[in-house]
Amino acid sequence: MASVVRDIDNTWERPGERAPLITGGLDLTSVTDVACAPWEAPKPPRAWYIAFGCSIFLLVVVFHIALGMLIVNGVGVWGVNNPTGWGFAIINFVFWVGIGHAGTLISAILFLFRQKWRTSINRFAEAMTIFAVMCAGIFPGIHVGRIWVTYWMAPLPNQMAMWPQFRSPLLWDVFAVSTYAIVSLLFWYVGMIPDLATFRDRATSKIKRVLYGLFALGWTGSSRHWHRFERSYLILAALATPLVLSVHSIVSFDFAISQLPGWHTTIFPPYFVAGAIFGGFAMVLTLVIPARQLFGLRNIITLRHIENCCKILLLTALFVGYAYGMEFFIAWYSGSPYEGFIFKTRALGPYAWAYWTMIGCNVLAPQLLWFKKWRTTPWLTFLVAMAVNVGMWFERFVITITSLSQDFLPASWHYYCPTLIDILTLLGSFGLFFTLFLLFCRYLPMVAMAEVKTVMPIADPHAHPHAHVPPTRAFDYNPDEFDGPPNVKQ
Amino acid sequence: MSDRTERPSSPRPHAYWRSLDELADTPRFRQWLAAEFPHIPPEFVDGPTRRTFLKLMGSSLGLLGLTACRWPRETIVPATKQPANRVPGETVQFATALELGGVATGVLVTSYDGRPIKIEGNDKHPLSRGRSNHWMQATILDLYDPDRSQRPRERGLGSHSGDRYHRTWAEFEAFAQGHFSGLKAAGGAGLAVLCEPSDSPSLTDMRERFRGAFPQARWYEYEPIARENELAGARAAFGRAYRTHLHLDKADVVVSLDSDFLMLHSAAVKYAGDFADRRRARDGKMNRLYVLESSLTVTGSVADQRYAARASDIGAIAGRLLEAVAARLGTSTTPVADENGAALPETTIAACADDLVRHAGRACVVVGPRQPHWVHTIAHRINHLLGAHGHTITFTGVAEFPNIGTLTDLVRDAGAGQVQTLVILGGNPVYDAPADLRFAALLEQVPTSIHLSLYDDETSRVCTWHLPRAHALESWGDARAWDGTRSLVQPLIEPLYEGRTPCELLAVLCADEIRNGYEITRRTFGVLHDDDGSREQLWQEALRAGVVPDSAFPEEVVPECTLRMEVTGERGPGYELVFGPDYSTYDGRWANNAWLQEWPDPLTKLTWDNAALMAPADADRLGIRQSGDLIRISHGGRTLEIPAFILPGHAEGSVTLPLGYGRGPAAGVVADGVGCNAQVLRTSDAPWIATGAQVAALGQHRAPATTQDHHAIRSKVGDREMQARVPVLVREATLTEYQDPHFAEHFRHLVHHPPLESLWQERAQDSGHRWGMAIDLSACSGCGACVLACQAENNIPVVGKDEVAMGREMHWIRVDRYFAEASGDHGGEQASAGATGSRVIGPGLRVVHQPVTCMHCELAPCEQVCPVAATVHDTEGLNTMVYNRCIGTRYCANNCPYKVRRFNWFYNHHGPYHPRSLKAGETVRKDGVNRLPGEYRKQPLTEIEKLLNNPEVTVRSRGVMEKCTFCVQRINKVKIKAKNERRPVRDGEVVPACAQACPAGAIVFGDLNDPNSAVRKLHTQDRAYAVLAELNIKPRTIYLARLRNPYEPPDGPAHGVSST
Repeated sequence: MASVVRDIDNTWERPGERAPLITGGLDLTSVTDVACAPWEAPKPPRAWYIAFGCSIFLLVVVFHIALGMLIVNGVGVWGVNNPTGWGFAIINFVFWVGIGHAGTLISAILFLFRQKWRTSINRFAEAMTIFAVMCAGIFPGIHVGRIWVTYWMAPLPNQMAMWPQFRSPLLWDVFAVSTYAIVSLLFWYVGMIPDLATFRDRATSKIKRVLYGLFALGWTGSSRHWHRFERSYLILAALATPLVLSVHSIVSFDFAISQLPGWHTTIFPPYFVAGAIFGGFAMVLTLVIPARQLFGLRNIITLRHIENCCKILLLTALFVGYAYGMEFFIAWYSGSPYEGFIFKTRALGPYAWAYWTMIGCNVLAPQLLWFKKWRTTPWLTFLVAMAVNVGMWFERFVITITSLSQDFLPASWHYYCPTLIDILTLLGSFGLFFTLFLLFCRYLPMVAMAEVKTVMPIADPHAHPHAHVPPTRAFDYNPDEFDGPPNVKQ
Repeated sequence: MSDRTERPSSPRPHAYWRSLDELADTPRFRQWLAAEFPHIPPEFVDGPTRRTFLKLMGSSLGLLGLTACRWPRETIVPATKQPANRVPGETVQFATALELGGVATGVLVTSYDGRPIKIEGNDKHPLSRGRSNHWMQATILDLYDPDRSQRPRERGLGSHSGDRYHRTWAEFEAFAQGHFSGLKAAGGAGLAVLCEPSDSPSLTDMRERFRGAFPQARWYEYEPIARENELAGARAAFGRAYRTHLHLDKADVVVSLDSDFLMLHSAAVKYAGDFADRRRARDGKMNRLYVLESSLTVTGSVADQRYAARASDIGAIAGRLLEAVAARLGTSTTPVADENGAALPETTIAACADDLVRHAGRACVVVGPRQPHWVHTIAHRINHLLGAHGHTITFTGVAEFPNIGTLTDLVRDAGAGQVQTLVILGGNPVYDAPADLRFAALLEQVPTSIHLSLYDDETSRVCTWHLPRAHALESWGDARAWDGTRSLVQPLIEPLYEGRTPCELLAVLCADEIRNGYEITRRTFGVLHDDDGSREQLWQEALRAGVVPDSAFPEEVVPECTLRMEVTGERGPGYELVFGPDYSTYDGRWANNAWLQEWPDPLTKLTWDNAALMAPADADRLGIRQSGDLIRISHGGRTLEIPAFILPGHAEGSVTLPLGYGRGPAAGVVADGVGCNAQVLRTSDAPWIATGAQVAALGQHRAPATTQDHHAIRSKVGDREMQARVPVLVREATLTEYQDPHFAEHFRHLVHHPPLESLWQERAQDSGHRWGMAIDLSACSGCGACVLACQAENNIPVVGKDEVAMGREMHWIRVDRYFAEASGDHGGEQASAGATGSRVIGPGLRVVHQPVTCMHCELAPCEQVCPVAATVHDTEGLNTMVYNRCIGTRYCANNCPYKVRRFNWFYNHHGPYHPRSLKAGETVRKDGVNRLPGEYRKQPLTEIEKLLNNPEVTVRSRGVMEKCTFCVQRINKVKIKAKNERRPVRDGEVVPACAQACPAGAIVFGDLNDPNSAVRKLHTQDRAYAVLAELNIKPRTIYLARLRNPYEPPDGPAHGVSST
């Protein structure tokens, strides 16, 4: 199904000319054909099966063993101990929430900023967001000591006439993450409706037609539909944009509100948001690079898209690097001996290995992206993205563990060591994530076809002839769309 | 003897049997079965007949139906007459006494509806004065130990000598009647009794009665932790044995030579209190303590001048001190110094002697029981020269009974075949006798041996009869304290497991007309033949008060100390081994006490283990990189493999081996396999100090479970930071600094921070109660009694070694211990290497203790971060924990700067790593990481163990946070009482468990809104400071800075001890 065997270089910048965002001479029809191909193929590629097998194993076997052990026995099955009350569960939570940021950033902020290149990858990114937030959402629920009363964190009327305690950042988290999850899900779903209708229309079996038809909500592509679609999409984008900034700010409050050295810093909200975008883009790249290869999407998700992601990755790596440096400066400048010590011990103490892993992966590895070769060679980019994934996990490890394990009274200091079950839980959450993601690749429109079409030159009524626009087929006129997007005939 | 039943070896009718059923059909087997399981009807042994089958099926069907539709029926018989002054649910306190090493301390035991739940010191008892120590606190757990022996057992004879059968007391009595009447006819020839030494008048009386019945019987005494050197020293000095009493309240200068009198002394509770009272510098004066010791002890850790020297050098140093003192007083004395005395520099000895002489009459020298008798003699001479006798040191006579042999005598006599029947009353000599006596092998040769003990222990398993002993809280009896004060021992509960006391057993053996412990005690007390009823009244009063008035031994004036010197100090090549009781298990008697096992050692903070303590320099020399590295110690052909523990302040060339560990399954489930048995190196000729041992590192490591200083978290930056932080967290001052009029302002400005302001209007705190605490670090010796008192009061679970190693111990109060380097020389020596290689550690090493518990911050950081409002402030300022509301996010613990919150990671009664949850034969895993499915088991508390719980404190379950409540149940109890009596709560009326136990009275609790309360006065003292006050959390607990009084030469700055 891979119709293109070679990446076309569309990363050039020439004054007065725009590089095409879609390559390979695709027109409006063939874009649909290419984007639907993975869904329409009778069988997914073998690599999909292998990946899905591994993911489902991690999800069903590993995750369930880990959670079963946890629920039956108690939080003690993890390596958490007395000074270090939070371990892998919170690290994983922050990690997954962070991953979830890039999706909404791409779909909402880049939408508002009219960044047309977002259209090819926004569906991926949004799906990633949803699944990452699902993974993240598990952890606050399971990390508590009495799992069966987790719902007490929600403001539900009850016989005790008790409200949750609104001063606690953990409660803010409940609201922030659930709001974010709901808005992201709506955003993702609303954006997908035209594409679901395309699937419905192209469905070969009745069951598919019914199911996709159900979720396409009767989309006909009428101008009224388009009008309302675009309004709602814009509103949701406007709603989601502040959430991109708020969610991780609030997640950072879990740390910043406390008075623990290394946590209690005002830099945390912007630092966490930058880190989340950084980690999210790395995960987008991690998913997109194999997927475009596997599903023949290299003309839709082009090198230019990858390069743009790389540039954001590089920029946010600089943010994050700056934040790391600034933390040290403030620790010294504040004059607080506890603050000063925690940064010294991060770099030189018992967790120095984790700290330098973080620096290596998050600050040093992305510097390779200054080189165009690393931005435009997908497998090299993939390596950097993987390093950032690891580094961002370790960032949360360093923040959570070092501060807790060595706080004010030296007599309480204690090393934190994860148990097997901690590691299985982490792997299991990856299993959940990839299972969902692979199902998404197979059963949902991976590319926002409707949106991609709007950024193609042929969609622009004022388009001037373009060097790389090949002579196209006759425009596939849909008589229903008599007042749809401006018709272009060349 | 006659009714002994035996398991058949091979049934007579058949030479061979084909199946177990066939074997089971023999009459002998049935007879055995009937004896072993008397409740099983014989039908069950046969295959069921048709009739039985129908009956069984029918009845089980009926029972099934019945139980399904009805509550189980229980017959409750209400008291037709309510016992006087007994309100159900109201606790009652009874006075009794607990013996350790034959010396008693008076206690009050709290009983809740007939079950004892807490032990406190008896405030009317002169040696306890309402205070207690960790052992007294932990004794209550032993009472409810399910591993205690529950029935008599008898070992089979002949080919079945390995098998042991359950017996009843009636069967034993029948046996005893036959056996001992025979012995009586022979005048007791071949009969011997091995007993723990005790001052109990009843036991003494019973012993004399026993001897009357069996004139030729021999009586021996053995106690593994004995003080016989002390008596021998007095004998050498004064011609007869005396018991020494310290009056630390009168002593300005105390020199301790290897004596841990604040912990390991029968009067330690009193001494700790007296000593602490002189540390508070109330009138600007305080005492000064010099300690010379080989290992670092609790006493050493509070010393003003502490020197480490090998235990075998201490005698010679004492000799040089005597010379120095004598020279200053113008008396001559026999020169006693040998080369070992050079272990301490001359200037140090001179300074110490100067100080002693300047305070003559108000100084004393104390020698530990480990030191040979001649060192005691030297000390008596020094004390005599200093005029201490009669002032800071007094003496009472020791009743010396003739014809009481030692364990060595017993071994000699038994080896000569003179012992046919041996009765062992208490003790566990098979485990704790010196290794060279081979006591177990000897015991095997004694035809009839009877052991009365709490546990079916190592000794019991070798004896032909084991008899369960009644716990002290189940017994009637009497005992004497160190000063001779007589107390009555009264039971709090009927024996849970058919136990009897040694007196009761002796009464059976000599066929006394009175066999009941109560009547025996009354007979000794003289109530039985009481004509005018005065004794009866005295008895009632003694029972109520816990002490018999004016029963202390009379003080005796000792003759002038004559010095007959026989210096026998020897120093071979190799290491010196120093044996001593362990702070947790003592001599092993508390090995099965999980509270004590999990109680961190005051100095090493080691739990669930013992280790060979050694100096850092020795560890370097031996290639030991970290505590827990295994070493092999060889001495006299015996070897021991044990983990090393690197203890700063330990003398070089010396290895300290705590006893009381390494017991096997006979000790009980908890003790099984914990630690290493140092007894294997202990011999009868060198029970305390053995020289010439070889030590080698084995290159293996066994991770120790400590509650502090975990190796993995240590780093250079961390160590440096700790050194920088400790002086701010645990503030100290010398007496001279304290006398400086500007002390308070300098002291308060140790931490610089901007003015602390609140973001919002704080709640007014000036009405109602405002509970607060003050902890005097000057008084605290770090003994850890508070930790166990809190555990007993608040139903705190034990989590097991693996969990402690992971940092999950549950103690609500902990004692942080820091080693600090010298911050300035106060006239003592810095570390210097003596000519003999012994390193002398003067004030260069400092040890500080800091008890830490919930500070009940007024702006508690834990409360603000709880999402479900499970931890909230009450109107009296208590930071309360609502267990039912807690969902266990652990954010509160993260945000607590003192890290005093404890989380129930598992269901902790008994959790998956408690020894009781481990399978039989399963040992504690090596590292805390290899946790696999199936390893998480839990063994719920048995019905017996549940009786221990304090009903006024919630038993927490899995997944909730818990922490110190300031003993809110005690506060409310007092408040309710005061309200009923329509009066305000008096100061000092509310006493939390930790404050009540503290032998030094270092913890004071009260109402800060009461301007006259003791705690308020301490809060406004110039030594008061709040730890981490700069965080603006306003803790309700403050600390009083620790004062030190190091020696300053008279030409230096003025020092605080008045020289008038």
